[in-house]
Amino acid sequence: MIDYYKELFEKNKENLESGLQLEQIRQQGLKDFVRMGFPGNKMEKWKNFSTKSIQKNRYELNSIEERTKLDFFSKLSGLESPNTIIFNNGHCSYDFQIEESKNGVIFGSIKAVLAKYPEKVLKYFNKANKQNLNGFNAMNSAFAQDGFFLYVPENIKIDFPVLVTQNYNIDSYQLINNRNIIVLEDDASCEIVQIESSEVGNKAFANNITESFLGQNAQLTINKLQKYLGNTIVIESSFTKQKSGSNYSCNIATIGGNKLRNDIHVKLEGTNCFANINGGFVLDENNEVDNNVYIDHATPDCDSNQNFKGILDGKSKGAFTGYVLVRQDSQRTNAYQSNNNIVLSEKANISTNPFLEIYADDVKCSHGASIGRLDQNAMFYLRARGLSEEKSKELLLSAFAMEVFKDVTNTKFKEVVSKEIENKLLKD
Amino acid sequence: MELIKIRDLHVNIDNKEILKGFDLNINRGEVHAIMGPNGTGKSTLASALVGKPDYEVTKGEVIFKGKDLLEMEIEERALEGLFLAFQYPVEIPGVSMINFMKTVVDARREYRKEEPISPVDFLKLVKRSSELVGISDKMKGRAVNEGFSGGEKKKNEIFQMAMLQPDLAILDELDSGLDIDSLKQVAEAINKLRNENNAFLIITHYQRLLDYIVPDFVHIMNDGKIVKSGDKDLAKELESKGYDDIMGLN
Ligand SMILES: Nc1ncnc2c1ncn2[C@@H]1O[C@H](COP(=O)(O)OP(=O)(O)OP(=O)(O)O)[C@@H](O)[C@H]1O
Ligand SMILES: [Mg+2]
Repeated sequence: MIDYYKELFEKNKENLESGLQLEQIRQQGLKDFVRMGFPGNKMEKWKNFSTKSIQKNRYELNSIEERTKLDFFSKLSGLESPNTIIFNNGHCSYDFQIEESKNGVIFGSIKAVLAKYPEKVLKYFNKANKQNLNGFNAMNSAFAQDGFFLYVPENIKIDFPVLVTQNYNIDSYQLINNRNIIVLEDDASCEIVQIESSEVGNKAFANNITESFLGQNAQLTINKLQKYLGNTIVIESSFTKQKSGSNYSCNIATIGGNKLRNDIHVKLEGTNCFANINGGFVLDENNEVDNNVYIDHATPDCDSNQNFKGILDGKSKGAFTGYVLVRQDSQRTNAYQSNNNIVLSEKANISTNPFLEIYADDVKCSHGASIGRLDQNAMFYLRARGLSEEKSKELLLSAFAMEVFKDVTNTKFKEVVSKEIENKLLKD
Repeated sequence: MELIKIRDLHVNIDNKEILKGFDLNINRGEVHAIMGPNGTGKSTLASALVGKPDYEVTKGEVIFKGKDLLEMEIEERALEGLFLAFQYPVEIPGVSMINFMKTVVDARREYRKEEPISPVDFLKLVKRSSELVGISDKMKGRAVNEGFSGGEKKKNEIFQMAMLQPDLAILDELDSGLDIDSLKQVAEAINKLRNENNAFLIITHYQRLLDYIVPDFVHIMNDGKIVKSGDKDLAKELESKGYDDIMGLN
């Protein structure tokens, strides 16, 4: 199968290249991909995510660019932003390519920015994801086609949340590799809302990477809604590097997903950083979601927090693995991790795995995990006030999942997420 | 007019018989008090009436507003106008009081085939009810009962009662946890809500509450059934003589 991708690469070389100056990165990516291949279940980090269904298909490189789908906007109810970029099947809608503002902000399709300012992009490309960590990351380096690029200069605060939407809807086996790069210089700040979805008939496989670079005291918030229908397979890897005093907050709401993996890597490289990673997932039927958070406390005096909550029904499978590495000199580290789940059906399954590797001695670390059922006393209390069993269940579960987003200040985003959770729960 | 008729009610918990032939009729406009030693089944009666799961009715019948109460789901009983102010209200993290009340009020309106309440009317209702009971705006913004003090939880039950205006309200040890001033305020609220169409069943250990909310009937319960009934003076007699004497055990 790896040979197939070598051929695919050769066949599309011209097409992929088109003056994008990524040749070295692509060659290295292909080499690493050929060397590592697809991760297998025997590898500790992949034991909750089988790659068999990916390996058995011959994915083509998708090159159909589309115009904005306006009906998609209607679903966003209130999240519309003057800073919006729309992707369909991995390609930036050609209505909008690049926007530069007077204060130096650059925002647009990474392809367009690369063509105009190659040095700005190459300075960061694969710099957070240095080693092509696994086969899928290497595959992305080899085949990356588009994605978004956001550059925020020193001291600039973007007032409106930036909106990035992605919708997958192809009825043949297509490979999508998006590469997103977010750069916040010192004291810059911004919020990005990402709405990712797919339609029931979609067969495309998306293997995306987001690299983020936070300068000193920079503040980045990512609020992401993932709602994949049908047989969509998605691997989303993010690599974030934080300089001193920076603050990274990442909140992911996952509504279903046939097969989804989130890999969130954060490296705290300066003192007094904070990384706050939260996720809520609601799964049913044959949904499969595997969340992995890797936090590297590489310097002293940093805090990190991971809070994930899952609701699992049907035959769904969920996993949360939280890695915390506290290096030897990283004194006065605070690292918290928690994963609580409610399992509603006998056939649903959740796997929760904390991995703490601590080499410093002055460290506060905690981790907690639970797998429970609905609180029957609370159910009785709500029903005794006149709410149906279904409504009571929905209220309790939704409150349970939404707790992870308690620090999210974007109320519109929370409303949309809350509505999506409600719909998913009431559908059952 | 008869509101509820409880006939020969037997209830088991874990195969142990707790209610052993309980009889009571309550008409609209009446206030009944039930007193009795710890563990005689007062809360069990309240829970069985509102339909708590695992409370197995082995015998007897309950007719509420002419309908068979025991056939109804928990929520149906509530929607028909039965309300329990819990002895131990449950904390529900993450569900805001206001959101909860709006959902509950609309569920009732839907049951009666009415339109959802308008935001303005809802806020008016909230304002009126919270002023009546004396709960703060802060409490309304918080999650249901979460982190409420014992007394606040009790007030919150009566706030919900004021919002929902049930036909029959069962108040289980409302007085425990309330300070003197709060007790007085809550009792006054109940007196204001009292009318010829509704009724109250008050479970209490103390005369104090009955000084404020004067009952039409007082019943003494022991070992799963009513052993003596009388008017408001029975409670006073009980206070001075104690259960053993009243129940004729001495
Ligand atoms: N879930 C349960 N499982 C087993 N026994 C129970 C349960 N709930 C109540 N009981 C028992 O039923 C009996 C009646 O309890 P209940 O709570 O109705 O008493 P009460 O009259 O309300 O007492 P108090 O005045 O102390 O509130 C007690 O012996 C109690 O231990
Ligand atoms: Mg009791």
